[in-house]
Amino acid sequence: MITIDAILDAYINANILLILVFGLWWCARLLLQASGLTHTYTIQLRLLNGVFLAVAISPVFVLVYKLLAEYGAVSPGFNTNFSDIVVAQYLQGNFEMKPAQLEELLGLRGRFTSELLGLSSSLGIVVLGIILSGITIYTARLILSIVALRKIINQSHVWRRFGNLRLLLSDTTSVPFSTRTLTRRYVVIPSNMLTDEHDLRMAIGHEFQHMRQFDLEWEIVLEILKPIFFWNPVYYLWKRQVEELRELSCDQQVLARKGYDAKAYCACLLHVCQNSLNKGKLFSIPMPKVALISMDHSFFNRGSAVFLRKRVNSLLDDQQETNRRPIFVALMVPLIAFVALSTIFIQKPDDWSQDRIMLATIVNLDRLAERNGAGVSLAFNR
Amino acid sequence: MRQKKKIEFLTEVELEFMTRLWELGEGSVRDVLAKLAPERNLAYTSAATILRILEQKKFVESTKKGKTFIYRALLSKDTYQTRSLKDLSEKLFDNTPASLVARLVDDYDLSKDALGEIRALLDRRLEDDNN
Repeated sequence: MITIDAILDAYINANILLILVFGLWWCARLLLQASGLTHTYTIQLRLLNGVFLAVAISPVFVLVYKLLAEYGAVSPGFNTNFSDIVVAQYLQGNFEMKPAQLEELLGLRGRFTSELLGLSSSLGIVVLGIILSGITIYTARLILSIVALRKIINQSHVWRRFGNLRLLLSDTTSVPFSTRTLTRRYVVIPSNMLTDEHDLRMAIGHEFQHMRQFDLEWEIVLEILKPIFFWNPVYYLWKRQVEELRELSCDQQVLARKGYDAKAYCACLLHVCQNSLNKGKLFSIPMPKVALISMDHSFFNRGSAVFLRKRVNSLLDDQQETNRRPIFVALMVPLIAFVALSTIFIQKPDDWSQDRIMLATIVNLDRLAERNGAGVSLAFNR
Repeated sequence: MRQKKKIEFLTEVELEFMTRLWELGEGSVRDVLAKLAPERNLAYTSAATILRILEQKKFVESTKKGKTFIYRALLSKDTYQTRSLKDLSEKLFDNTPASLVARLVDDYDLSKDALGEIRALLDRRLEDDNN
């Protein structure tokens, strides 16, 4: 049976992994930029989505490792726990620290978990309260945004039907966007856009490209995860990176596939932006949808205008990605290996290792010596 | 399909189409397109879609003549003007039409003839009310 302790442990692991993996992805991105591959937006997006998927299936890595260890495929002496490695390094004298301090540092996570679950301190109560209220508020927000999105779709007019795809015309939106349910996909176009054939064609082409890239599905997954990772700044940075890369990649692919004129495409983006500003901030509500332009004014997404400029510059640069597969594979394989290893390394140790027993003994001896020393000193003072 | 909430107002493009249809009385997609300004450069399919939406919103109705759909406005221009002014008065002039008229007279740079016409209208209305 899954206990609350195990859920909390998995939650902490997921947050640690998210931070570690994003940091590593950022390094991979810097590497691409240093190699003159800044414009490889599709590779960067796929890498980001790939490592995200790896984080999501990280429990499978742990399971596989445990099975391998059970069948003797892993040497028993092989240390696979981060805190055990730290203790071993300490005992070998590779770094200096007071034993009690190290023990306290290593026990931090365990103490935090027990304080949180046992509600034994006011800090534990406050943290648990914040987490639970945050999850509730962000879930309510997600439900409201789905209701608002449903309302827009219901008030729209069906223009075309292709299988499970509906092309809708809406009077209430000023920005074309696409979204989906379990069974249907929707592209919603502002009805006023019908009067501009070129803009209309480009906007539809852009939204179709998002569907080809499975951007809708990724956006929905990220929105669903928001209530869980609401407090983690890396989640917002991650989401912002996904949003930026998917637009840059989509623009690049649409121009390459359809052969649109880059200037006309930029003009289309600016028209949509202008119409959106004239209509107010309808699209400032975060929703599980993928829009032609982002008008999100949330704290982590303040640079809408800066990003639009970046998109226009990228379009006018006209640099196309070529031969992407080798670069993608060369980066993806080590990234996934890192996720798998990190997942195994950050697990809570199952039992006491020899090194841990040794550290505890040193700490106890240290305390005893301190006490005896204090006793001697007291006797001496008398 | 679920019944949509009744839409009472036209978008900018729809109003342009309705204005042409009010002028024509009734007409096909091509008739309406021909009435639009030449620089509009609107595709036939887009114009047909706009008229189809207007039909869904119950602003127009269509009848099939041969292979062509003929559209006719279900709402008169006067009725739509009244509806729009009422909405404007409610939303922007705290439901006091006198403020709306005052703003119009003060700021619209009306000619003497236009002001005279308004006065005649008001006199006629007051006379009708007294009778």
